[in-house]
Amino acid sequence: MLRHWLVNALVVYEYWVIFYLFALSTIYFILVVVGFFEMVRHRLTRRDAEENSVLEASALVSPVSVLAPAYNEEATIRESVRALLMLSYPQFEVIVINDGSKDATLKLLIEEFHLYRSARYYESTLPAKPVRAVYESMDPIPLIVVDKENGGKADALNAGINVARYPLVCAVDSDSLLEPDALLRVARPFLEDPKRVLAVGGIVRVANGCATAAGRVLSVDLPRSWIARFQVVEYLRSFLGGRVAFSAFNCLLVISGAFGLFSKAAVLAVGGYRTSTVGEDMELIVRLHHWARRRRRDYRIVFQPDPVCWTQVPESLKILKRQRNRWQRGTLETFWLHRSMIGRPRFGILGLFAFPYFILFEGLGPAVELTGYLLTIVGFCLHLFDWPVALTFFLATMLYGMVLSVGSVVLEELSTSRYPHVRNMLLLVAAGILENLGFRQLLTVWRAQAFWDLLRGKKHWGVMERQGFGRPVPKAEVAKKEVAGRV
Amino acid sequence: MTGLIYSPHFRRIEPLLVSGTLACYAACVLAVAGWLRGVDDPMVRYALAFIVVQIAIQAGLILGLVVSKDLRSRRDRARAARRRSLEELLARPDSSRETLEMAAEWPDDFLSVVENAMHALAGSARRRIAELLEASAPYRQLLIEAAGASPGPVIRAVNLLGRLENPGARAAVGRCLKHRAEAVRRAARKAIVIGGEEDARRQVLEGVCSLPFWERIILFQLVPADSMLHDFLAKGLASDDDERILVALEFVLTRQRLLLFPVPVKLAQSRNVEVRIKFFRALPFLRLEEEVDSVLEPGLHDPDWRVRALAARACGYLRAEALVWRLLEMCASFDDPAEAGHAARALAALGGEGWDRLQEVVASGRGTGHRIAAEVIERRMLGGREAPR
Repeated sequence: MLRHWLVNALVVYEYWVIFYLFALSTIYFILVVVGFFEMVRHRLTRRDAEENSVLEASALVSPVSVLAPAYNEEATIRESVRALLMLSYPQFEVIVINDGSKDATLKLLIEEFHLYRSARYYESTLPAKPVRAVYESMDPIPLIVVDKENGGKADALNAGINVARYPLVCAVDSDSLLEPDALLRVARPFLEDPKRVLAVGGIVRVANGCATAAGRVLSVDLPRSWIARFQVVEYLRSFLGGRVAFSAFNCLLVISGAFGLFSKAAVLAVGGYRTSTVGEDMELIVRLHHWARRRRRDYRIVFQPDPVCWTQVPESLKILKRQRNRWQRGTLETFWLHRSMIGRPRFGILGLFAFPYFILFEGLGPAVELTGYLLTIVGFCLHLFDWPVALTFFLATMLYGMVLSVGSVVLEELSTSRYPHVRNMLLLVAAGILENLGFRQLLTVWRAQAFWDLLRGKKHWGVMERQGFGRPVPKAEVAKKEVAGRV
Repeated sequence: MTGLIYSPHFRRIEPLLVSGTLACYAACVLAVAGWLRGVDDPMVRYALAFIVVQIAIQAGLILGLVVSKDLRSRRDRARAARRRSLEELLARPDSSRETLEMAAEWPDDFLSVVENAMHALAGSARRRIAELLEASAPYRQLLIEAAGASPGPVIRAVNLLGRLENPGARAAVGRCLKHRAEAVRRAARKAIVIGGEEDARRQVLEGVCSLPFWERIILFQLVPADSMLHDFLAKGLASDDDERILVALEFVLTRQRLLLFPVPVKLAQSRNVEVRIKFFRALPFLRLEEEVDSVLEPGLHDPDWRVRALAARACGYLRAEALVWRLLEMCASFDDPAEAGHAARALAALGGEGWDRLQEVVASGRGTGHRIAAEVIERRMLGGREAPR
């Protein structure tokens, strides 16, 4: 009797997992389709390039403080800061926050940019670990370096906001490269709708494999490692499919910590970044939503698909595991902190759809998927499932995922078409198919493990190793490419 | 389809498009399931139908992607070669016949090259390109496109025709101000302010107040400084309409050039705080009817700190030495960091007595004002960058 009951429960659960994966893929499918229409519209209606050159000369464009927290970034810091200083924008300042680095980050900055210890005045409006010194450059460059005690990324960003003097603050990762016009493009929604826009996110792309020089990506190519290639497809799917669609319905819950522009007044109003979570970027966005919806404010949090930030993704499984563990813990912590929004009509589409979706599929997804895999193995061992039937359902779910991955590559080609060769397309398609055969399952295991780590109270970030940007380009090639106008 | 995408109702139509796509997808699965009637178990039948549809979609997407990428790469290479040839032809003075023949054969490439050339060139070289365009077959096509309904081609036509000086082209651009798509009207406005007919330009400038802020600042950068603009600004600044005053001041701030006519000082005491803020911000570029000190002093006592801060900044630019005492008060009292910062920078800019007083504030070591003063002195002595605009 008990065995019969257990078998039935197992079969029901297995069907539930299949239904769950099917529902998840259907939602992704809808997001990709919405993304498709949004990208077509964006591509046809935007004529930013010519207007940006006009706006670049205007004194009425709101100035921006670019905040780049750095912790043990000696491998990339000079190139990143140089790239930030070369941004095309009417008025901006770059604030690098050295978050108690143990390596030569600060020394390199002081030497490279001729920094002196400055008497710059600031107020500690947001709580942050003590600042040891503020440095500014002797050269005519808008660079400020804040040297502070280690307190984590959120704490460093809060210190940066305290020192910032402009009404818009742009948070970037110091191991990332922004394209020269990225700031102007990401600031565009603030210009177009200054009263309502609270935050804007840009797209983050994978820099591994690209040729870089002097803080710029000169030519785009795919990474050599398959782990990084899988992440290229993942990033495309997440940004061009998911975020474009969520932004269209004003329920965007994440703006990547690698590149986001915020109204400083709004960030100060909600109390800055929360230092007690490892997912400070998502938590801030959810808090901004919470704050604005509670006040019944007409607001927008926007994703823009054309301002590009290039970032290094991990190529070793060990580092990737740490990163995904942290992301998952951050997501779960955010849901827990803002659980009061779930299912509340007061929070509109955010409380009724976006939040439940994220909890059900992003938060609990790994646990459901993993138990599904485990029970399938148990079911086969106990001869409870019919092989062909189970295989059919498995194949159906798997193919759904593959179509979505290939769909996101199509979105990339439709939107910015950054990858120049047919070979790139073939590799991306191959990565989109192969990632469903092992990589995705591996991520599921890691994310489920993060759930367990969170329950155990794990709070730290984990060590990330920096490797410097892509393949270096010889000087002659740089000159040639600059002449050809490809930079 | 492009009309739909440019439509202001796109957001409302989009869910229908998405639902339609999903319905097509479901219909495909149902059709294939009907074809697989031989499979007894309905669950398995639908799962198999689903797999077939997925494979078909997957194959279609991959094939489409690879083929389109390949075609696009080849087309881009061929196009780049044609454009290079066209550019070379345009650069030669005796090549009009060959250019026009090539223009008739490859109109899109010709128009693209001409658009770039018109953007980059000036004077007689530009006139020659314009004459070639007017004599070419694609020009007639452009005039037809400009009268069309589909926004994409109309915008391209407006961008090119707007650079020509002949009445036919200008009239075609002028008509686009009444196009139903906002994107086209915007392109027409830009083309007209750069070099349209006088009446059309006046019409655009009259309507500039109703445009969104970001579009206004783009137009302000493009409009040439001539007598019409002079009249527009003079009337705007003298009017009683705050909206018009603000737009005129925004223009001054965007261009950052000195105005040649006197501006009424009553703006310094406007009831609208936005007007006062923009007035004091633009003050270094305005010619006043009265002594500058008499305008600045009330600004330094304004109830709004933003006005006080900007008036303090203007003191530095306009060398209002008689107001050092008030700047010193503001720097020392420290009501707001921005206000104290501007006051301190103005004192530093004044030199002489202002500089001495600023050093006294630093030496006093009291309050927070001395820290701001120290920062300003430090930057000045190191020859650092100027204060924010």
